[in-house]
Amino acid sequence: MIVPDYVEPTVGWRVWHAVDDGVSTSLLSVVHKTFWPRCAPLEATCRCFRLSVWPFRRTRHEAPASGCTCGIYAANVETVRLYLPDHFGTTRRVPVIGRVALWGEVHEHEHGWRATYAYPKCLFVPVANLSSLAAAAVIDDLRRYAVPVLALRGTNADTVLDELTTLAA
Amino acid sequence: MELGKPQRVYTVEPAESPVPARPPATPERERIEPEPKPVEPVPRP
Repeated sequence: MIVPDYVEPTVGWRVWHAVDDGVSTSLLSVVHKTFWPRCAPLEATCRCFRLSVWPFRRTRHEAPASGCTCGIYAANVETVRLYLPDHFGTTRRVPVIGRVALWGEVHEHEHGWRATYAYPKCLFVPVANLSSLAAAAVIDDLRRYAVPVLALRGTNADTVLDELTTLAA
Repeated sequence: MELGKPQRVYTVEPAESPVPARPPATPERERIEPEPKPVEPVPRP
């Protein structure tokens, strides 16, 4: 029997895009185009071995692994800020910022974590650039994740982050 | 996402599941189609 080091999940911040998956609006990872399931954990897999043109192919392994970049990522607020557009009107996709619970094997780094499993804890949607109808539809759909979903009124990354750190406190 | 240098590895097995129970089924969002415009009568020559 393996005794875990912690029984409380690690909590970090992430950015997603809210994307219509054909049925509803879902969370889509920004870097790897992974849709996050509703009411089920997202499990990490390593994609490095799939790159057949890569000359230094890695062997298949569980994610996250030391010496690899695999795993589900979350970071501190300062790092997440770097992945937000300066002005929300400049992007076609709706960014969603949120806190995420991480568990399983967790690799802690200077600015964040890589983990085996993840699920959102709460979601924040910048709505300044959306019509009231579109904002309500996105928020309603994201509530299917069964976590709190809040609207942010800020129009740029700094005002949005100020607002969400106040709301999340 | 740039996470910086690795610090340590640990395991987490939550005492309570971080995944909420599936909420009761609700109908998918209704798609609102625009109403068709009435066809204007073609004037007779």
